[in-house]
Amino acid sequence: MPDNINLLPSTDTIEPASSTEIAAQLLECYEQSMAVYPVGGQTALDYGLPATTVGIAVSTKAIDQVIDFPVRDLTITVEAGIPMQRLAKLLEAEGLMLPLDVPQAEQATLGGVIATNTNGPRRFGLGTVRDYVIGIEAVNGKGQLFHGGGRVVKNVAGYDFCKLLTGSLGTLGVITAVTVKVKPISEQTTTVVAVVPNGHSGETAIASMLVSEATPVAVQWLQGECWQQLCGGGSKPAGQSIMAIQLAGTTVDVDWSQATVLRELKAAGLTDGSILDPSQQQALWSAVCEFPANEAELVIQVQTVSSGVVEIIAKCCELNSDCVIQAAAGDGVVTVAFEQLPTGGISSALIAELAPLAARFHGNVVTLKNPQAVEVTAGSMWGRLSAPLSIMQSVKEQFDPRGILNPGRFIFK
Amino acid sequence: MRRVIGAAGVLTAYSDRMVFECDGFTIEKDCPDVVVFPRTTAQIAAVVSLCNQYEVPFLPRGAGTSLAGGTLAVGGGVMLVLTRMNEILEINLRDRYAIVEPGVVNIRLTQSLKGSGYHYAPDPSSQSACTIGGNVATNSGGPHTLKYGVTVNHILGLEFVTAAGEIVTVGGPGGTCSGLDITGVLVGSEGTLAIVSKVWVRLTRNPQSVRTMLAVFDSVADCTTSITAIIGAGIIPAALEMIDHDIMVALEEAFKFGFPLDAEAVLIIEVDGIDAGLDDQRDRIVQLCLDNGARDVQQAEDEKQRQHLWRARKQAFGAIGRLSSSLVTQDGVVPRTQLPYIYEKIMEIGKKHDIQIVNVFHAGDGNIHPVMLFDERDASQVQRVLQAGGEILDACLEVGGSVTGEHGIGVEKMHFMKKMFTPEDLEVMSALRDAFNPQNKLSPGKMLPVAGACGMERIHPSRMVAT
Repeated sequence: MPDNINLLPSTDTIEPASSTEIAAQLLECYEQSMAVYPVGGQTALDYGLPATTVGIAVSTKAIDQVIDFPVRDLTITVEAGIPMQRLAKLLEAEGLMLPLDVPQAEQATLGGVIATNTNGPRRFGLGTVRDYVIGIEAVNGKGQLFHGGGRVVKNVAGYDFCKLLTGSLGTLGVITAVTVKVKPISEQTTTVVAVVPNGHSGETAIASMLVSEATPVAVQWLQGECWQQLCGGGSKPAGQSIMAIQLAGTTVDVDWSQATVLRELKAAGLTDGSILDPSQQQALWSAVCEFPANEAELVIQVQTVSSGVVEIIAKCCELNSDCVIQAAAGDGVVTVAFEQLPTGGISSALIAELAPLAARFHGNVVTLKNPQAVEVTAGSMWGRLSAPLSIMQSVKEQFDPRGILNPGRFIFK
Repeated sequence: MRRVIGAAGVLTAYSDRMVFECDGFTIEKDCPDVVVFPRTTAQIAAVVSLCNQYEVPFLPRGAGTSLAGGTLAVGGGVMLVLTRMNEILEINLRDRYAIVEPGVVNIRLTQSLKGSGYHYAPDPSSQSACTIGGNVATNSGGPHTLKYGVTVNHILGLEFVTAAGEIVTVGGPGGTCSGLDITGVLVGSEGTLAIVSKVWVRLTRNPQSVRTMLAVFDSVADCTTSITAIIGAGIIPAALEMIDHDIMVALEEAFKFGFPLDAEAVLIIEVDGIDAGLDDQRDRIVQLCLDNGARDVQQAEDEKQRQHLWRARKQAFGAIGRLSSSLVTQDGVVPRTQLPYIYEKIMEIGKKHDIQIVNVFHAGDGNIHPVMLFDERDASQVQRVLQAGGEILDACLEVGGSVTGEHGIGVEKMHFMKKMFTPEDLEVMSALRDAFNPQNKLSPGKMLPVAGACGMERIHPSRMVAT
């Protein structure tokens, strides 16, 4: 277990044994206006602005049980502290999966994944956290235990707290239990890789994957040195950009799809197309998944539209030629690790150069990791918000009127 | 109002307004005092400001196909009908999105994408009439949402007018990037949080190939068991729809499709995806149906026959009009494995109250639509229909389900909210509404039950309209 808890100015860490205990604890904190830091697997405590207000850490470690697993309904209800890997194993035993790609899955909890809205490469074909959470239980900043959604896959009763809490970084409530829908594991998964010789053919390839009848699950761009870092070399030449396409389905589907994708990538101008062997494939996607949690000086994510990917990547390389980039290219999500801070610092490089480019593609730049906390401001951390702060702030005031939940760490004043 | 909208966009005469006294939920009626047809977001904002100035309630309406009274003008006030805001503003195939005004009719978007290789996935049965703005309000479903997801899974951003009359944009072509997912909260909020004036929708790649089957059953139990068997075997079809005998009769009269009228139920099963693997998938499904008692499984021979079948299914509610003068459709959800149980229960409840109930289910999602047939002039029948409907929804809740899968709470199901949610849940929902609609002037009397009262504030004596 990493010692990330030290990142919080907490005097104490408590591990309530139930959601009602969490509610009682939060009511007490509300009455005393005491800051509360929700803690799951402690893998993302360095995500968000550094905490400065002294308070207590409330851990979901002790609430990690399965509440209901009606296998044939393809849903599961669990307590929020369940680690993702344990959940995956439970599901796998029944031939099912929750296809969210999460770093450090042995520690990361489902509640934490929802609070941080963590998504990986398969978001292209299989969707994101908000597409899977169908029921949620949480405790707000007034100590009220509340629910939204339910345990059935289709349900429009009441306001959608599942969406509201996804990505709210623990600032509206401590998530205590969750129902998610799950999917059958595909019979077969395969990965086609090819070298991207230049930006033009890269863009052509991305566009062709979006309309490919092979319906890829992931369309991932791996820039520069990362191939070496990911797969220990492999057969691809150093220093080149790679496109990796994940395909899933029945064996018959996948046989047809991989031939189709190889042909389409070649037609787009990509070279050296090949199909990874199973061990390479596993190493690749596991490394892709872990990538955002790497130890770089600065990790940022540009969230834009797919057609912006090539230009964003080019701009990042221009800012720092050593940066390592992975892009979920079909979704326009570009994750960039800078081994050293870009020349000119965060404000002049990221904010002045990258953010306007992202905005041109309807996007935004978010900081995932900045361990030295260099030039940390709400602006450099979250970039342009998806909605006016005043609207988000009025929601916040209803859920946490005294501002005790994760104070100072998210977008709120 | 006339200054803001222009005289042609304002209705005040009772005879004109009467059309807007209810939506697809016809049991309760309440006529708006003024009906306006804005053409721009600025006009919506101006109308909202006027309403606030004079402290009049107001609410948006699309095509009025809502089945739960979501667009009932509770307590009168100003109704903003958005059907004249019906432009498709942009289609961007490279980045898979479109920008539409709220009054765009659902099917028009998919029609305008014909030949592009894309479509807009949510396909409610009313798609030839309902608007995308209305779909956003109710988070509409449809047969193909089983595989492709409901409306919220396809909405990337919204422009809306707040209850205070401000114009706000959230999300956009790239979805929600930073901060709270306000888009996700507004979808399905039934017009109680804001008035949506522009919608960014995700476009979905057309599947390469489709196989559509019609499985025929001599008993409904065999049909519902087959549904469970298909999903339980890890196959998620694109659509899985059950139609029972009585609806089949009505459909056959209307569409002459060739439904087997001696059967008790049929199941429309559609799988789509890569052509190479589809025959295998079809064969597996056929076998599962036969193993679970299907008499026969037919396959649609060509696209024409497939379209014919879907047209019949989607117009089921229209066809049922042949069976009865009035009907009420329920919209419960059960875990999919509980379909055999809930069907038995529905029929038992119908018998108990002496109400004929016919059934069409979005079976793959566990979303049931029992349709109760009655004569609305007969007060005793109306009473029994309400009671039977309530008991069916109670039965859904007992097995862990929901009282609405896609139609919404509206006014119809407000009293069920207390059964589905705790007082604290409702208090927190109320708090969320306060964040957007603190005066509760925007679509009052909807969704959240009024504490202490039984929704009585809804019928102000001076505003009673003869029905």
